[in-house]
Amino acid sequence: MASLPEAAVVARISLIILLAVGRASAQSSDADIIGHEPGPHVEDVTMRASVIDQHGHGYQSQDGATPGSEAMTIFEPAVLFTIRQSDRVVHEVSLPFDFISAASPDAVDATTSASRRNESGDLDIRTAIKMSDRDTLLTRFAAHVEEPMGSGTIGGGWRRSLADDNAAIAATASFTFDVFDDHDHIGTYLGKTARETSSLNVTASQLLSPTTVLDGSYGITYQHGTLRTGWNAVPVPGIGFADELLPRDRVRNVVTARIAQHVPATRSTFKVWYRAYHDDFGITAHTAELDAYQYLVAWLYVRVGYRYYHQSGADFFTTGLTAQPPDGMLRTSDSDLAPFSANEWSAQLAIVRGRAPNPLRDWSLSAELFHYARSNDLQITAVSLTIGKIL
Amino acid sequence: MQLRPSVVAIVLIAFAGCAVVPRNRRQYLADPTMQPTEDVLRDRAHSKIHGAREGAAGGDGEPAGGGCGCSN
Repeated sequence: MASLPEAAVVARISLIILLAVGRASAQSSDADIIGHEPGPHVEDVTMRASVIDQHGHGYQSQDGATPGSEAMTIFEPAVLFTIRQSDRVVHEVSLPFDFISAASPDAVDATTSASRRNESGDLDIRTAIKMSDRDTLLTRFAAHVEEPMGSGTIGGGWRRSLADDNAAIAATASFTFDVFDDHDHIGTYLGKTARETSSLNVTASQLLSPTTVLDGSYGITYQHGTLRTGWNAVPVPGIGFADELLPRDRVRNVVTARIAQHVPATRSTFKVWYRAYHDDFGITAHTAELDAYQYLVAWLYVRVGYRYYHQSGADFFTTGLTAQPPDGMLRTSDSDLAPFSANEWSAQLAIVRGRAPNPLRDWSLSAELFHYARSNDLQITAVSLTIGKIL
Repeated sequence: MQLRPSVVAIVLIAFAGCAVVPRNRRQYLADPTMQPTEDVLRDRAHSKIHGAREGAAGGDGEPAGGGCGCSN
């Protein structure tokens, strides 16, 4: 047993050590304890390349007989960067491009090569800024360039999670300004023209069970300006063609609902989506979509999708003019504004990043086959490959 | 287009009757296949195809068509 003086010495030494340790601890910063924030860095890169082959005919094309051919081939590469600026700020930057051959050959090719061969590119930057545990601020800047037009979009929004993330609501708004060359149906250049598009969108999502999510949205879009495609031709049998003429304003309304259900016993997921649309051109459209996902192993799944779309035509859609239309008479023969239905199938095989065994662990890979067929003579087949990596 | 009262009622009942899912029971909800946009580039590519070929684009937070009509 230690004597009293020895115990006092031990106590003093212990006190000194404790004070020293305490002082050292007090000097440690948060960064020493939790590590330094890495600063802005690219978290993830994903690239996709598609080859799209289109066949069919439409009255807006003057390639050959009426309706003209709409055959074209598109090579469409795209890249998506996820950039983390800080623990609260994440940017999503995408750069899709289109290289198009013989898109809707028409009269404008008499003066430009706009549709004979065209390249277009987009820059789309979407940022999510986490303001608190519940609130996120959203911003969007986008630009689009192709031969006869340029376009810019700005947007913003706010998202709030509710009830411990069991529900979320969001509201977003965007404004797009397009400037493009105007032509008549024989290709005469009429100068620059423009249109503006304003959109407001509200969404809500709700967890219904540990395997079920429901979400819905409402959106309204207002467009003003030159909405027609200047060189679109309206056939006048026996006489020739007339210019397309559309209203200068358009209001579009959209309601959507989607339910996603996971089935743990079979490692399957099903998503059903419905969209209703109406605008003041007189077009009412309904879209129904079903996607089924089946895991083959924990890191590899196959997806099969089917989509049905139906639209009524614009009130002023016509292919049966008997004489040159009077000034101010609205008319179009654009097959995109005709009444039609479309069936779409797609199949995809995908590797989930972070789940595959090494050396694929940080990679995502997928291949997709896509087929779209419209009832008014338009078919599209596309093959796509996607590759992504966590950095 | 008018929203039918029956549709609104079904949506309200569905939202009102849902159970709260605690965080420790959300592993299936976190599965990649359960995300609304599990493949962003694919969804945007499909949306572009539809937007350039169908009259019913827009209204859902994306540009309402646009372009010169010769892009895809």
